[in-house]
Amino acid sequence: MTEQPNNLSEAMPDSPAVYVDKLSFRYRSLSDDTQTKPTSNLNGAEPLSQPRAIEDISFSLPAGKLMLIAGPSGCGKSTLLKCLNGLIPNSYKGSLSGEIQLNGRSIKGLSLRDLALTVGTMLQDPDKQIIGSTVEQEVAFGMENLAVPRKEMRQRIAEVLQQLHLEHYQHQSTFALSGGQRQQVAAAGLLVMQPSIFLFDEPFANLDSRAVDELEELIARLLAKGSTVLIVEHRVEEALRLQPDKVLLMRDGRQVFFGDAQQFLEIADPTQVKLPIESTLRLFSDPMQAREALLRPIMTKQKDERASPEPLLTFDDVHYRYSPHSEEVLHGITCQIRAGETIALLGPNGSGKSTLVKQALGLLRPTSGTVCISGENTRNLSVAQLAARIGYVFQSPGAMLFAPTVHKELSFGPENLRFPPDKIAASIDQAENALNIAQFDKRSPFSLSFGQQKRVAIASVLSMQGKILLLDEPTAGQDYRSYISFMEYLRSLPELDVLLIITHDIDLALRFTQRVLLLKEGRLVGDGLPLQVLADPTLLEDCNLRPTSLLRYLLTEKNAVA
Amino acid sequence: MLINFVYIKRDTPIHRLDPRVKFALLFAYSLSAAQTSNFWFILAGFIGAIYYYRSARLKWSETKRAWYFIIFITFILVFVNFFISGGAIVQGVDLSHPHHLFDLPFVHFTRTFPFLGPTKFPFTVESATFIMTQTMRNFSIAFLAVPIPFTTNPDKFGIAFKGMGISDKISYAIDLSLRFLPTTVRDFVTTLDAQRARGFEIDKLRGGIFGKVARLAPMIVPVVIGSVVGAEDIISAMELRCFGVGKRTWLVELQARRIDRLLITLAITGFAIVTLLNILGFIFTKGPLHFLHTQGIPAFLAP
Amino acid sequence: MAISERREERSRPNIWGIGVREVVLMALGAALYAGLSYVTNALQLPGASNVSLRPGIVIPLFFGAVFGPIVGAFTGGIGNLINDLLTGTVYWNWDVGNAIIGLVAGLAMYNTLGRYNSTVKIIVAEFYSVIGILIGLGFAAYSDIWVSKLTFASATTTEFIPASLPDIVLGLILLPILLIAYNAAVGRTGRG
Ligand SMILES: Nc1ncnc2c1ncn2[C@@H]1O[C@H](COP(=O)(O)OP(=O)(O)OP(=O)(O)O)[C@@H](O)[C@H]1O
Ligand SMILES: Nc1ncnc2c1ncn2[C@@H]1O[C@H](COP(=O)(O)OP(=O)(O)OP(=O)(O)O)[C@@H](O)[C@H]1O
Ligand SMILES: [Mg+2]
Ligand SMILES: [Mg+2]
Repeated sequence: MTEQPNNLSEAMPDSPAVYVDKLSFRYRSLSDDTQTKPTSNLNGAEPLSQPRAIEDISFSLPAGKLMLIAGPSGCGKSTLLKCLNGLIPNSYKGSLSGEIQLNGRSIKGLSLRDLALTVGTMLQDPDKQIIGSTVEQEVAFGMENLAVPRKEMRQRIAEVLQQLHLEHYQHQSTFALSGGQRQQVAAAGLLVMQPSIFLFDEPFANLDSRAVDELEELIARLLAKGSTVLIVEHRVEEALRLQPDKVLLMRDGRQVFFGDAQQFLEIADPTQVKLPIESTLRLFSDPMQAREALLRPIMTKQKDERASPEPLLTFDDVHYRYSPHSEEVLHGITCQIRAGETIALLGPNGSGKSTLVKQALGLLRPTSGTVCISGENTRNLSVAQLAARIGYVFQSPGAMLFAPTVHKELSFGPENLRFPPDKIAASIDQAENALNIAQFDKRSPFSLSFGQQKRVAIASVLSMQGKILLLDEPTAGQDYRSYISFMEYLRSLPELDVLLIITHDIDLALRFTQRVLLLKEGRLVGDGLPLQVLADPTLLEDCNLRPTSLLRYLLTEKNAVA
Repeated sequence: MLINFVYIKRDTPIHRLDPRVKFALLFAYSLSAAQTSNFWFILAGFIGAIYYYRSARLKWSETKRAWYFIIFITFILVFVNFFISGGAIVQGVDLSHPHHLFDLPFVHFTRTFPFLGPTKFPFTVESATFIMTQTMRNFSIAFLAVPIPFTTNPDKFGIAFKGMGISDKISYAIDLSLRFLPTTVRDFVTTLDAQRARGFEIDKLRGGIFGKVARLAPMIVPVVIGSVVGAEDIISAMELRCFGVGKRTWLVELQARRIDRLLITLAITGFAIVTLLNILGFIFTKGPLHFLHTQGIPAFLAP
Repeated sequence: MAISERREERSRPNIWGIGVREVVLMALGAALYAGLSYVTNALQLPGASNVSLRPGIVIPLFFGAVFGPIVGAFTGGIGNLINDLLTGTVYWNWDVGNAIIGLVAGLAMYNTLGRYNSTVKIIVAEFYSVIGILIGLGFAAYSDIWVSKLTFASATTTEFIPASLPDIVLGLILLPILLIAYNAAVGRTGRG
């Protein structure tokens, strides 16, 4: 059934770069036995235990154009990309039907390797993409495989690293990179290969706006060079600034819209995808009402400040370096967090946000300075003891997930904390409903979409019912609706004392938190009410934060009122 | 506790050596040293090895972990073996009439109750010499081995093996495994961290050795399975970037300077000569050609 | 149509072939073996002798049994070499010994083709593993008679027994757990 590879590289004249017709795919159902050849579930006898991940998708995209693929988490975006780059059916088993043509040639039966010459893919989870042990090696890897001469390699590496402002990290180990830096490096490793079709799966998640700008620049340059780009992105607002020629909107594996960006803005539902504020405002008659609806900071358990004067969590002049000979990452962080606060921790990529938060949990111990939790020095507490009080969700879900099923994943924490069985069951249900992952209860976390995995990771910590909740970029990879509903759920948590969210999303800070901490190069450069801190344009500039349409709107409002 | 390959960036003669040379020297010497127990031969190697090690300019603080381990092993190899084997540890040399120095009191098993009785433990010139020889042999090998990881950039191992005539695939696999190492260890560590962050008490694992392991298993297994299933992703990720399409180039390169070639030839010829002498030693029962089979007892010990 | 080239590669009877897949797997295996040994060292499992006790021993056994003798041998040999390099001590005969362990364990492929969905097959794997450990560590320990001039007695008491006993126990405990878990995981994630 496999045909001999036909050369995709030289395009057929005037044929679309990407042509997809009636494409459907169902992952091999979990119930079927590993032995059965995937062909066996082609002939109608498809087990219904698993719905189709994507169902009759058809579109075509001319060469040199940019297409944006949007849609809620789990709607099949990544699956569609996997079909285009050959991961399906080469690596993922299941039943595939429909036709895909790249540069006018069918890709049926082509191996990943042959396809890779034409299609460059940036996977959604950078950890899965990065192979080199140093940044330089990682970027070089693709070129090495294409037998690019050493001189040219060095030169291209230098260029791309310089464009992404990563020169400084050229020789750093990839495991020693921050989440965002890792994403940039993954992108760099792909960009240097210069295939004719690019697939980006959420390239902007985890990136600060400066990094987003740089990446967008590079993508724009690719388009100018005539390559074709498909980009999946939840941060539609950012993605739209690239002026995509086409937009594909998906829901539950089906395509609900395919057309150009203008139409998309008109039909799109702002509660579904995050759109520029203007389109949201259309919903409200008078601006005041809009403001009400938008800005409702989460009030965790209202303690009277004077009643509990001693802060819950204190960082006292915390310094940290990862190893004696590496340079210091945190330069004396001092701040106090009181019960009842909800905080957004903002800052550029690599500024030390994740590092700082890990200090609180004892995963990393300060090289000097102290971290205290309700007056008790964390040095005297084991990570496990701290975990009973503090819930921390890692930036990358891959790091947390390990259990065979989602249910076991969620019960792991409570069991370690020796909850009574009934309490365990209760807390699991609660967490599952909060992040609507109940339907995956019996599935393996590894078989979920990235956003779903992230939700499972969050749930696995919620189920421990810690009083302090530290979320590292909870909204990355989440579609607008599920992230809003999740935030709304947090609102309803009765026994939550402190909520701290690491994020690059200014709107989230504005809409849901009462306090913003700005971290830059390991120093706190801003601390206060969201609108106050974020009002200072130069500060934003320094911290690679771009005013969003919402912020601009609010500021003009404010000035209008004043 | 993230893995850091012990490589220390410096500029010393040993750092500048082509990694192939370092391996060649190590293997050539340890294979030669294995062929004899001649005091003087090993002494020469020992001195040479010390010189080699000195020129790597490694600090004690950097290498002490390795040395504690080596000293421990050497102790086992030399003294423990000396007693276990009742002093008769001398190998491959003529022991027809040992020069008895003195006796150490020792215990041995007896037929009658209490099955354990005192005995004399002969300490001979030969065993004394041999203990020295063996200690030096161990340390000289260590002196050649220890610098390798500390002075060789991990990037260079794969291509080094390639340069030693090992098949392309295998040597590339070596290169890859060194690339995967930090990643896999990161996976272990982050997963362990993530589990600790969810109250898993790795810090206080109780029970005996096997109890510990049993408690560890539920932690190790998922991580291993995770990375093996994840291998699927790695393979895909590599093929997605054209791995295995055809001939590939390498970013890192090795240039063997004249000195490197010289040293390699020396190592190989040296090994060849020792082997030849060893064989000749069987034919000639005395004279210079037999010396590898003699113990070469130093004068100050000679009876 | 959903049949992939790789799938065919996989079910190929020749268990000695090396394709891209094998190259990556052996590399990963070696990294895992070295890494796990290193991490468990850091967890201070008390060494039973100069040959420290490693749950990691299960890695070459597992990779051998599932992916074949070559992958197993590489995993054992290079994995151990890398760990030696990390601890700064290279003992080539122990590297060879570990290679043998993986190689022999890999011979189980002849009976099982690397799929472990029945108790019998798992027992077969266990059997080859024990043989592998005995031969491999036997080679390593007794070659020290020649390399480090031990007597047979001391090679046995200070190296062979303290090294092989815990490894066999660990292997027998951990290997089935891994094989079963792997079989299940492959099914659940719809990969592999
Ligand atoms: N390996 C797999 N096995 C079985 N089902 C899978 C697998 N991967 C994904 N799915 C399911 O297919 C559906 C689509 O997944 P996909 O990754 O395409 O979603 P997505 O649109 O990329 O979501 P996200 O925005 O969260 O990444 C999801 O319901 C997911 O649970
Ligand atoms: N394990 C590590 N070893 C050495 N350096 C590290 C390690 N992890 C992170 N770093 C460095 O510490 C700095 C801060 O990393 P951190 O992950 O805290 O950044 P961050 O603020 O979370 O960034 P992002 O928003 O991209 O996640 C970065 O420059 C990174 O290179
Ligand atoms: Mg996705
Ligand atoms: Mg981070």
